[in-house]
Amino acid sequence: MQTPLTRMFADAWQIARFDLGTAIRTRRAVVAIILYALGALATAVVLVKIEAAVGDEIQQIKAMASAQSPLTGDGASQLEEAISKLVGGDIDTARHLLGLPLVILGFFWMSLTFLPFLIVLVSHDIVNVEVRNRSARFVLLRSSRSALLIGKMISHGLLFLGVTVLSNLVLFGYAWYSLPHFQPGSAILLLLRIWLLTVPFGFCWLAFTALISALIDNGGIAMVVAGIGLIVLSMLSMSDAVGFLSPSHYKLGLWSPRLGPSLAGAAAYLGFGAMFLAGAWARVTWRDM
Amino acid sequence: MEAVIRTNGLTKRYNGRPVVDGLTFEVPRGAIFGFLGPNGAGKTTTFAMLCGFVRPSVGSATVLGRPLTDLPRDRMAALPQDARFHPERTLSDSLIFMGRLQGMDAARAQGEAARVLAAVDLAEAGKVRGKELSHGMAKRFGVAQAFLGTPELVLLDEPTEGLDPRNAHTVRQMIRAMSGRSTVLVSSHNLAEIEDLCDTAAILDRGRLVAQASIAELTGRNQQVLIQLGAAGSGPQAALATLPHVAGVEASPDGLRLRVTLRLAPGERAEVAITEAVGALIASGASLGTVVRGHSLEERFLELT
Repeated sequence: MQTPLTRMFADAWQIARFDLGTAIRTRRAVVAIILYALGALATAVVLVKIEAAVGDEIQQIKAMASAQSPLTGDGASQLEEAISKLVGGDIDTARHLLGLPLVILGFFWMSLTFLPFLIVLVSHDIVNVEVRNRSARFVLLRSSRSALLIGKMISHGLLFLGVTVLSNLVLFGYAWYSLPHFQPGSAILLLLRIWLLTVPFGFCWLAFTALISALIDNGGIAMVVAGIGLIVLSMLSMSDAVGFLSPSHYKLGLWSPRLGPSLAGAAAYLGFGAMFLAGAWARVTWRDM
Repeated sequence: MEAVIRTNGLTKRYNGRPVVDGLTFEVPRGAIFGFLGPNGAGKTTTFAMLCGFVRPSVGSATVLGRPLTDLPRDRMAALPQDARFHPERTLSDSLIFMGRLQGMDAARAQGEAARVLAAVDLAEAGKVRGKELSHGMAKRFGVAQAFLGTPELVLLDEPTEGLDPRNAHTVRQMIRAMSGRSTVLVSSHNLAEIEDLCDTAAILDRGRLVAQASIAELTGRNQQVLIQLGAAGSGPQAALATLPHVAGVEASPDGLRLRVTLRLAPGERAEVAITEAVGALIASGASLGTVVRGHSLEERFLELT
């Protein structure tokens, strides 16, 4: 016997499967995959070239970083200083990042910077397209509004997860092929950590996009508003007084070598994501469809 | 009789303007119930509220005993008038998806999809995608999805609009076949269709209910007979006026059409009075053109709206 909750999740899964199937048959998935894979490939090519050119210096920095000794030499100390500025002056995090393969570091940076924009580009109509053409009515005759929203979130979430995994594999393969010092064992563990941290990060921005899509029926306007929203939240995060109100404020935690700040960053993204999703849910639940 | 739909002061306002205004009506279980009204009368909005798509501004309703916020989705089906199908998915895919949402397993959903597609003459169109459908095919597909499974209640908003006569006939046959198994609420601009299909009807005008009665009552089938004579004269009118079941006779200015108002005791059948009237006319030497029982639903509709 199904409870309302299990029925809702069963329906959400059916909706997600159908929506994902539709996305794969349409340009949505193709656009996402091509954009992200091209970005990954371009990043990989550039970073592999950089890593190949300055590989020796990086090896030296890695050795010093692992020995926890002060970095010596102009280039190394300048690099450490530059990276520590990027991560809010946190020397530990800067050293940790210096110890990572540049190609993976770059890819993580690319994910955190561009994934929200890709999500807005691809998912701005996650809710409103179904409302606008009223195709949601065929679903709502058979299922709840909550199942519709959760199903769409699962579908888009799986799409982005697939896209990032695919892009990571492209990057991983290219780096392995091109870099003589590349260590696939440690790299794959790092990639796994990055994937795990990217999930709450991506969920937050997908929920944000779903909220905008639930509030604004016009797809184009929703995309522009969500894009502006991303920029505003990113700028807000730099404020000392109210920066904590923006999810972007917690991005630095994701870079940390320590488990605590990493988990705190991930939890913050999950929390903001849950709030955005609750807003989208409230709107979808009470609006006319 | 048990009501499967019961509304109480159901109202929907857009920008303060009532589109549906204080609607109170009941649909009895097992009925094929017609929902009539001119354009803008509020039929589609009422359907949308009963299906849970649109929230009422005021008032309430129950569907199969449940409130609009908790509809028994596994027991009801509907054809929404202006909803579009997924353009990139095939008809089979969409129907199987809908069947799965109705709780069917994959094999049953597949079987049901094939059954309903065949029922609306789309058996060969299973692989056609939503964006490739003509208006008529889309409408038939909409009807097909409403007949998936065995719903207790089916709401059909303009099910034959835009269909050619053959397909409209097929859809009407499907609706008739539901009689006794399901309750069907059907809206249509085709008044002859409603008269032909339905047992009971409600008429809406400017968001308000102006009549709800059986088709027989609405058309006066037991109250009135219209007789077309071959030639004018006072004899036929006089012959009818003396009959015990005739309450009154009204002749058209040219004297060729008589409107006979019947007077029936409770339980008396109109056929007895009509036979008596026709017999009296023949005995008076009148030549008869046509005898029509009651007036058309169209006439009644025009009177009320």
